[in-house]
Amino acid sequence: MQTEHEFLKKLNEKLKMLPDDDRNDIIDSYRQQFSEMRAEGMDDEQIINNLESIDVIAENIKKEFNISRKSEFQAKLRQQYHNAKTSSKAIESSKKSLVKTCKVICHVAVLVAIIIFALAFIATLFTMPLAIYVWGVTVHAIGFYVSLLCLELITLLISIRIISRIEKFFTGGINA
Amino acid sequence: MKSQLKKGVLELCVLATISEKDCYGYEVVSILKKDIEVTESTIYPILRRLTKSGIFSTYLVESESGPARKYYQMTILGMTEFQNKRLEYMEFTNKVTKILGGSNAD
Repeated sequence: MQTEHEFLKKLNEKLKMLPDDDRNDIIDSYRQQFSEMRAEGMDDEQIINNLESIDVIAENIKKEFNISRKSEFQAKLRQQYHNAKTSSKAIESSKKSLVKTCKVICHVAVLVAIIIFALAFIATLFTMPLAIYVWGVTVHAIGFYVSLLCLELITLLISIRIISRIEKFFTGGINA
Repeated sequence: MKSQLKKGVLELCVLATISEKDCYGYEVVSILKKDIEVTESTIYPILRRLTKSGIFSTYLVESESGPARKYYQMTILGMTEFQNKRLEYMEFTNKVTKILGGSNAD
């Protein structure tokens, strides 16, 4: 058994394409109708049986308000356009967050590279006395260590450069 | 009567009913139902449309049975509109009656 509330809710659904104020007016009129008929001694079920079906009511009202199939189609189209716009906004924002994540990852990578090479530097410096002890202060030892430190420095600079290239590649690719 | 013909006439009937006395929606339907086959779903939109275009004004009256009744009242604009439409309709039906009568005589 349907109640007044359910009936009006369904009718409201069916009249969605009407402007809000028109729809509310119609729904109010039907609410009034329920209360008048109830005062005449009918219950919800009898009242609903007395009325036309919701589909017929909606059809008549739409006709009366000149809601044609065309304008219904236009309303649907507008809705879809609106949806597309919102989803493109969502894509835009997810793109932004992706770029942000990329940047953060790359910055962390640079930091990690610097830390690793700083540790390598320290390790190199600490092993220096050992080498000097073994080889003595020779051109060998000094040359070996200078070249080792240079190699580490160059590797650090190259890895930072590669990371920034990767960052640019990803962020540029996403923005395009 | 088929709907196309009925549509314009119904509006005139609603105008006539409310020009007699102020009515609430359900009352208009009840009055018209006595003489012609009408349903709420055609009358309520007419009331709404005519109110929107300034033919009727509305006011609320509390009722014991439930929500306040919305009464429709003719505005001055409504009165002139009604008189014009009534004349137009009378002239038209006179002519049609004449044509129908003529063809009947044949």
